[in-house]
Amino acid sequence: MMMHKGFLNNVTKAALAGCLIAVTATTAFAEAVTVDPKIPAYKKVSGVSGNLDSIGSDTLNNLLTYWAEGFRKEYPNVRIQIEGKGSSTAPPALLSGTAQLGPMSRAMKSEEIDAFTKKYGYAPTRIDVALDSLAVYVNKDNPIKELSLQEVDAIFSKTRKGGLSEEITTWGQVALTGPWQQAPMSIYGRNSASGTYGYFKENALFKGDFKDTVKEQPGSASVVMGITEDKNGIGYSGIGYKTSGVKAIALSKKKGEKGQEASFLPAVTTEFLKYILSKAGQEIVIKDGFLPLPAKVVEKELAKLK
Amino acid sequence: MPKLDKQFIKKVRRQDRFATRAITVGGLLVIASVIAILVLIVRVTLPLFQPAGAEISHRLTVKSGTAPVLAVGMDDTQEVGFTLDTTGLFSFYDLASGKPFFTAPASTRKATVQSVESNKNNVFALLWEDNSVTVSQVDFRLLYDDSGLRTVQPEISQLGDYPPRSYPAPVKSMMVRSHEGRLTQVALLADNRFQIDHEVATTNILGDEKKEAFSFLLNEELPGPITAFTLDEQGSALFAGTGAGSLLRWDLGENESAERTDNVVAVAGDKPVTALAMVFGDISVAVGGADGSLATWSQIWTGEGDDRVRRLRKTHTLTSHQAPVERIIPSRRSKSLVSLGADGKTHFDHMTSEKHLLNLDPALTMAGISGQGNGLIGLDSKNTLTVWNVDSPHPEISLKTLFGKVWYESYDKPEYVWQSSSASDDFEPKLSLVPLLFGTIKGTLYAMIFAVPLAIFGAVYTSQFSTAGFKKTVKPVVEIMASIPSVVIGFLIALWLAPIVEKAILAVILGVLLLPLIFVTIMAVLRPFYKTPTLQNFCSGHEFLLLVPVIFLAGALAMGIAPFVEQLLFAGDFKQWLYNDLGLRYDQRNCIIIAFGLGIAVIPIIFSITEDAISNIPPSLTAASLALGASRWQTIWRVVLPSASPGIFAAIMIGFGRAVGETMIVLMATGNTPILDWSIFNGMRTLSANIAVEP
Repeated sequence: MMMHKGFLNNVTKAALAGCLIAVTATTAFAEAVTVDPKIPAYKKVSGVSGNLDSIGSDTLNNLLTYWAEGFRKEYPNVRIQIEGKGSSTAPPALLSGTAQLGPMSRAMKSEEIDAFTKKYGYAPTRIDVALDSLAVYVNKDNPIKELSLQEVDAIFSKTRKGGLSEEITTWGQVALTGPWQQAPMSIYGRNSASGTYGYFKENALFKGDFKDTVKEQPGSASVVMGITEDKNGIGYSGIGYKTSGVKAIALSKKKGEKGQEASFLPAVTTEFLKYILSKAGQEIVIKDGFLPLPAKVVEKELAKLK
Repeated sequence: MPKLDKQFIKKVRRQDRFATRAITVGGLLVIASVIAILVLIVRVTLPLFQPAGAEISHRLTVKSGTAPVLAVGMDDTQEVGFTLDTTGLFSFYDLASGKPFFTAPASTRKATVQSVESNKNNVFALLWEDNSVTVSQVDFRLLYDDSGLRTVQPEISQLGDYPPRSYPAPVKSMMVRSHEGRLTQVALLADNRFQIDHEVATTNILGDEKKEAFSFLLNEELPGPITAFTLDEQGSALFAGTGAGSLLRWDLGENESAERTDNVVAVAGDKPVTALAMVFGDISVAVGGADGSLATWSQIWTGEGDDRVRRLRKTHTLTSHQAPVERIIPSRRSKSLVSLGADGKTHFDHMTSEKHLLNLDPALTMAGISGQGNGLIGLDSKNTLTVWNVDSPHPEISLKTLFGKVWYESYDKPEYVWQSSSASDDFEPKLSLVPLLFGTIKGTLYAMIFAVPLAIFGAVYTSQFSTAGFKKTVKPVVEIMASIPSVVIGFLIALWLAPIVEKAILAVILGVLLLPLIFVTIMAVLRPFYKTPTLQNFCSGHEFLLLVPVIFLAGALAMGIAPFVEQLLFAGDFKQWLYNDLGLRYDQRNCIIIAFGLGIAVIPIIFSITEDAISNIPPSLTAASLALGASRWQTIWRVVLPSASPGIFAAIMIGFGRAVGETMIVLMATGNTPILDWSIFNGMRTLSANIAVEP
């Protein structure tokens, strides 16, 4: 055992809320989604007040706003500010101390964890808050129903690590006929600050590279909006952003990852996170179109906060 | 005339002096701030090109009397270093004091370690003499006591312990990979054959686990003795180098299959391959040869049509050693490689930029890189452990990676690519500025082609031909246009205009062609009536009204004939025709849209400044020209425009600056596609929008 210089900053309040994203088959949405009855209701505690800032994922923006609304009903003295420009904006915000929560729709990179650990001396805490299903959208008039991950890879990627040897550029190549056969695809995606961008790259492109012709949009909503207006459009975005102008197509399944050790959190942050993981918080998850966490996961995540 | 008051003159002079000084100071401040901005930019960018540096931070001697060391490593804080010796014992040293403080065995076995292999940071696979394998991980926990003091506590955990398997010949060396329930062991036997053992565990929906084991010998003729081999992280690709300089690659399937995909000459002149290692990310393999050559190879698509296959190609050649390369150690944080030469030279290279980062002298026999890639620990033949603090913050940046074609991993050929980040650590950043510069020039160019003639001719008309009343209304209205926030313009053109233009693209093109045509026709028809007083009276100052019906006519005509033209010439679908016959993809967010959007932003600026410049021409000049019998048009062309040209130039430059720097319009309406294509029917990614969309 050795002694080293360096003091721990106990007032530093930094936590990382993660969002498990899974590429899920759309058929899962046929049944009505309900909150796991085993998830405990939120119990109000006294003496919670103060400010809470959250900077990060654009995908989780609406969800956090709903949570903040519900949380403020319990604690009117709490002020919550939410800013969402992309998951990659979360780590710098936690580092500079401008935010206490950094919602992300992907796991933190080791580089980001290193920077955090270097500054604070302990690793950031990851709390999984909801399941997102990353969907591939097409225009509502598009007759396509299903795509394999390999096809998605060949549509979006120029390196085609999925294994298809030819790139897919027209709708005819995915077996559409008639006027669609010759129609070129118009590809939409998120900008690289987004966790969705990173997750899609890792899982749908098999860590390959996006084509240069992917139109990078600064928000999940603009991806969906672009596809609504573009007959030949195809793009990816969180399932929470689905509108009547687009159609989500079925894909194959992947799993999310596990969490990390806990550290120090002040009362407001802890209570807010507990609220998110309560019945009321998870009902909001459904309201915003995401999928709630199973009780087992909630239990595990709650344990990290103790 | 009354004499001027002396006091008054003094006052005027004083004010003059004051004004002169104030203006001088102001001007100097402007120049100074411009220089300061330049200095700031240089200061921010220069560290990108700073050469890497390394300084020895610690040096200590390994405990004497210990068994030979097989591997070395250290923790991320660079406070604790360790060695792993042939008895399987990890010895930890406090680097600052040089004292050993902790030892732990990798296994309870009392045996000798034959070889050690490491493919992850601080994870070691130990091959014991009896052919059993232990995989150990060294963890460092950071502990804090009550006063906040930090201590680093090493921990050894066993990731796997695999009993000896039966081999038909003695094992020379072995690699073990465990990835998502699949265990792969590849052993190189003394008779120059590989034995491959797989264990695949699968779990079905009911949660039952099923284990399958496969063991087979790679019974094929090898083109020479195997001198080095390596496996990728998943255990699905086996690379081997031979004594004759060949590089072989096999795909290892889930079952008893191994397909040889490649057999290429990697080291010239029949010299042996002496070292192999996977570059971080598992795509490229680094090959070191007996001739000192160091290169990276990766699989890329080759061939045409259905024959397209992935084959190994040399993608990067790194700085050669003067002696055989003995060992290659990849960084676990970037595409950097450390290579040890037989002559005792240690090289630090970066694959993508092919930059030779460092050249360290001491003759190292063993080396390890810290988890964050900023520390190097090495052991020399005199059992001295040396730790370097490596300062190489931007190894991937060089003039070549910024402005040249670079052969990135998995790409078919060297290319200009911008794709800066990803969620994974092993991503190779692609930072070519060429597509961004190209996009900026492309967007600006099309915008200026649209905006400059409109703005300048508009200004000339307003100041020289129109009535004063008309000018009084038009100028402020156009200037108000300049105040529309660009985010509003961007939003409108991206979501409202772009779909409309897409639907009526042919009509837009026809309209642009028809407008001058119809205008000239009407002019020709009206020619006999030029001199009639009614037309003269009506026209003077209101000529533009004549254009209004022309625009409407051209628009209506274009809309009306577009479907027929499309049917007649373009087989019913213009966009499809573009794609099929010209190979041009029509993107909804394209340069036409951008030209409109940027035009709306730029036209008011150019218009307003040009108008001011023309109006400021002394009336005496125009009057003299007109008095000498020149027509209004001659006056404008020969007198007004030349005199106002500095002002017009300034107007164009300021408009150009706005177009180059415009962020929100291009961000929202282009799709930010970093492509190298002049086509007006697709988008681009500009430098300014890039700053906004990147993290």
